[in-house]
Amino acid sequence: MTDLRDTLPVVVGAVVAVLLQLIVAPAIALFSAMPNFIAVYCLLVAIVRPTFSGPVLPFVLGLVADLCVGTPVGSSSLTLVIVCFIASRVFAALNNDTVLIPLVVMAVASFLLELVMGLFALSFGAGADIVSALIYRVLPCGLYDCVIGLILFPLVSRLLAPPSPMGPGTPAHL
Amino acid sequence: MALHRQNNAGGFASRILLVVLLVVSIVLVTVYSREGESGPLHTAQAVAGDVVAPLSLAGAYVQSGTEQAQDAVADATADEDTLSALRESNQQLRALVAQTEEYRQEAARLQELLDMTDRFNIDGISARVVGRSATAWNQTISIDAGREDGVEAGMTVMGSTGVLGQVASVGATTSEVRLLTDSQSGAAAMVQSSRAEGIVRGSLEGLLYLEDLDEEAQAAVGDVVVTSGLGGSYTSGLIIGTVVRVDEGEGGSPATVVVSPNADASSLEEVTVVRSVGASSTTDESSTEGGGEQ
Repeated sequence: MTDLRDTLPVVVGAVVAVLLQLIVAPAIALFSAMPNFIAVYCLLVAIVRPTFSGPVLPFVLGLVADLCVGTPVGSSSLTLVIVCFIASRVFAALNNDTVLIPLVVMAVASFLLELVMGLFALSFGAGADIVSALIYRVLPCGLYDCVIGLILFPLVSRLLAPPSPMGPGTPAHL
Repeated sequence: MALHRQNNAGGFASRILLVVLLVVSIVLVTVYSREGESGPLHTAQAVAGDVVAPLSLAGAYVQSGTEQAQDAVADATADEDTLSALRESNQQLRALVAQTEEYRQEAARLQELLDMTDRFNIDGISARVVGRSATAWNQTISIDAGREDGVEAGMTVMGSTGVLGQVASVGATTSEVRLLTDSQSGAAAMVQSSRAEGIVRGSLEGLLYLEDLDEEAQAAVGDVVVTSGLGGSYTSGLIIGTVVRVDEGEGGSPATVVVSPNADASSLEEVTVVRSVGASSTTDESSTEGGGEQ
């Protein structure tokens, strides 16, 4: 019962992230930059629940993204699993209960994620060089992801924050 | 002690799971890159594209709402000077409306002529744009015509003013079109006036580059670029765009030719998937098929 109560919000959030990616993301693209809601959500879960979140969520969401948006199957799942794992470990090591650390981890992870996605795109025949990829896709998309992540961070951390070990009504961080 | 051991066991299992999923991902990427367009992963992707196509259509309504919201914000923040200018502009526009009506009727008549010309020269499938790429790394659109309508991978897709791209994958009722501006796109093309042949390639910055031109090739700003049909990937003779910049290399030969695409995908609503162009291709096909049914 407790497991279900823990898992359900994460699953609902994942479905919402996929819908946002398919419906909203193309509509709010700014020039060449389009937000990656699926990646942002995976990163937020990895940061908000570093101990709970395993590699399954980024793998499954990455696979769904690959199948639905046409990127090489397996590339998003591989990228998300690696970057989310690094983000959750870095956050667990640096966390000092301030807002700064999750935001910095989120920002760095967003750029890293878009960079790896860019390398995949280049290796799969995108006719561009790494500098063009950085200027026209990685930096703007990374920045966009970062902004979306910063906006969603308070909401996701409130909805998905791990339950307090002291019982209901007790703050998680004492 | 027991809790510590349990935590260790959980961490070990998590690491194993991580490694397994990484390996699975790598295997998937490898299989995807090596299999053909009809491979199981590509097929799964086409089926998934069919399934999410209605969601893309919903995205079009969201986009329309976003544009309206932007207009509303711009209107709400307009100052008095802007309003005065708009009122003046409104008066001029009213005068233009009457004149435009005349042009509209003329255009309708010309359109009928064009339709008739098209009916005899371009054999195509009309389709509506139902979605756009949901990732920044692909320049694609989804259309509501698929295998059941006779669409096949590789067919040329045209907007009202020129070549848009090529059908990349086909589902039962929808297809994905890779735009010419996509960095993975390439089309054999030629400069219409000088007949200089090359390859038009898309780029991440959204421009088209005409590459692989001969050293003696002539290209100037304003020249029209059309598909050459070489390699068979695109139907020949269709307009791609016009040359907007020519950077000369050594010896005066054009090193980089930038082409502005005629068709703007961002405002597209309807497209035509080209089966064949011109009466000659129809004749060729029927003679190849041994004089089948006309």
